Amino acid sequence: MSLGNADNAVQLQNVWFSYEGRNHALQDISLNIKSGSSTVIVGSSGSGKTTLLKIINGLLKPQQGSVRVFGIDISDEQKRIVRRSIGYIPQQLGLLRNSTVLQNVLVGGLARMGSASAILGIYPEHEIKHAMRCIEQVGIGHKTHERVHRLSGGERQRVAIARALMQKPSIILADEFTSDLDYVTAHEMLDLMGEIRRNGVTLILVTHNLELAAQHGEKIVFLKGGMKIAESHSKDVTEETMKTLV
Amino acid sequence: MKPNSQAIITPLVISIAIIASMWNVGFFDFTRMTRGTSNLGVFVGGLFPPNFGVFDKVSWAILETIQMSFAGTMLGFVIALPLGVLGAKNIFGPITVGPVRLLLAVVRTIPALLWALIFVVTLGLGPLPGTLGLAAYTVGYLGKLYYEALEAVDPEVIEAVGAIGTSKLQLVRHAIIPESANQILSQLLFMFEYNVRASSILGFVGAGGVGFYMLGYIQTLQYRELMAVIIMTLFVVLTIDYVSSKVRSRFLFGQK
Ligand SMILES: Nc1ncnc2c1ncn2[C@@H]1O[C@H](COP(=O)(O)OP(=O)(O)OP(=O)(O)O)[C@@H](O)[C@H]1O
Ligand SMILES: [Mg+2]
Repeated sequence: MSLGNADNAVQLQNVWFSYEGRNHALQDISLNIKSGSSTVIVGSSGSGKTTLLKIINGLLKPQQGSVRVFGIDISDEQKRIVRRSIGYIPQQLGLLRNSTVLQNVLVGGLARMGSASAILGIYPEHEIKHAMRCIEQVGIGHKTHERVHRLSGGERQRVAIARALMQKPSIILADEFTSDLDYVTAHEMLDLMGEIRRNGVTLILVTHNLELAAQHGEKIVFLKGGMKIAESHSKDVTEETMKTLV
Repeated sequence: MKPNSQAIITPLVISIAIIASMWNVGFFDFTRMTRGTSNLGVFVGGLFPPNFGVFDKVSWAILETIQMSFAGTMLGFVIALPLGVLGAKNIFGPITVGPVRLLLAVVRTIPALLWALIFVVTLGLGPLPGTLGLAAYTVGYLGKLYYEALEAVDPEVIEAVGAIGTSKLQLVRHAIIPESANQILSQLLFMFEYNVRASSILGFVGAGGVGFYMLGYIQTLQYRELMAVIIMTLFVVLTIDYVSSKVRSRFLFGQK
């Protein structure tokens, strides 16, 4: 939103990546993700899904190829500005366990706040209000002042979503978003994400749950051994083809 | 080497090392040991009954000891926390971490008593050099405990918060320190306990506190007064240890 309106939210061109001293974790990946769309990345364990997300948000730098987010190359100088607009929900959520829900969510807004809040931990009034709204939006308003280590798995997931929303993101990346959740809670989460998407946020979700992939992604990207082996619209994919691909 | 032969050799080597060390420091010098034991008997006999006539002035000295410990611990803490941050490998690179850790190690090698002596030489007698001595030792010790605590913070938390686009200062202030706050506070209390114990001896080098009386009573052979000082000090130290460990377990409780 704040980054202009390029057609492609994310554009990867011939991206290669390997962790130090390892084989390629990603090989020659090219990928376009439309602004406002919802994409699901599927692949078995070790296929490079997490690595791909970290390439997109700049946590990892490709050895070859280019990564553009809303048309901006995520080179070093620009990285922080681009990152601010990408909500990232890691596999284990990365929440502050000893802090309250509100404190966790406020962290999502730090990048746009001054040094007073950085050092003293004093947040502007309107940011606190915004954080409260994000917490309401994910349905845990009654837990605002609860510490995270006392929440259930589903509630923690909601905190992580609220923190991402606090960033006023244009893109949300979520890794293995539903893998630790029961069926009902998983669908609640995905419905919530669907709602967020209707507000114009581009979604990129990682999963190895094929059923969820088919139900919730417009586009499905198949990874295997670090390569993109297929990419298709979810309505064109049958469960059979999925099983052969993964 | 096969595991079962190792199971014999390791304890054997350790036993030999223990006996050799005891031999070298004179443990098996029997005439000296028997003489020492009977001297000890005389000395212990002289300690009783303790003379609590010194209660008032010793109480003041103990209060001074506690104040020195408190001030020294807090002063050390204020310096140790930033140094701990600079020494944490998950926050700074080797160019910063290396020298900071070396500095902390050097500071730590010098015991609090020696630090106190150094400050007595430079600043003169009294509780001030004692307090500074405790502070210096606290910096070295707490700094190390702190970089270890900070490094134990879950890397995914750091990654997640860093991915938001926060600055390093924000990351430390809002993610790394809050996540290790329980450790930081509990180690601070531990350090305070330690310093209360350590500071009772600082008076030996003229750095204030109750140690001044201990040394004085030893030198003038007033063993019954000495015993009163020891009992009072012990009582205070144990009380502080007890309270502090209760508080510490509350900090650590409820943490995952
Ligand atoms: N930090 C790392 N250092 C070295 N190798 C890594 C690291 N992280 C991942 N890898 C390797 O890179 C490859 C891709 O890993 P990645 O985490 O992207 O897989 P994934 O598809 O997310 O798997 P999962 O479904 O188990 O989360 C794997 O072979 C993995 O062993
Ligand atoms: Mg993964």
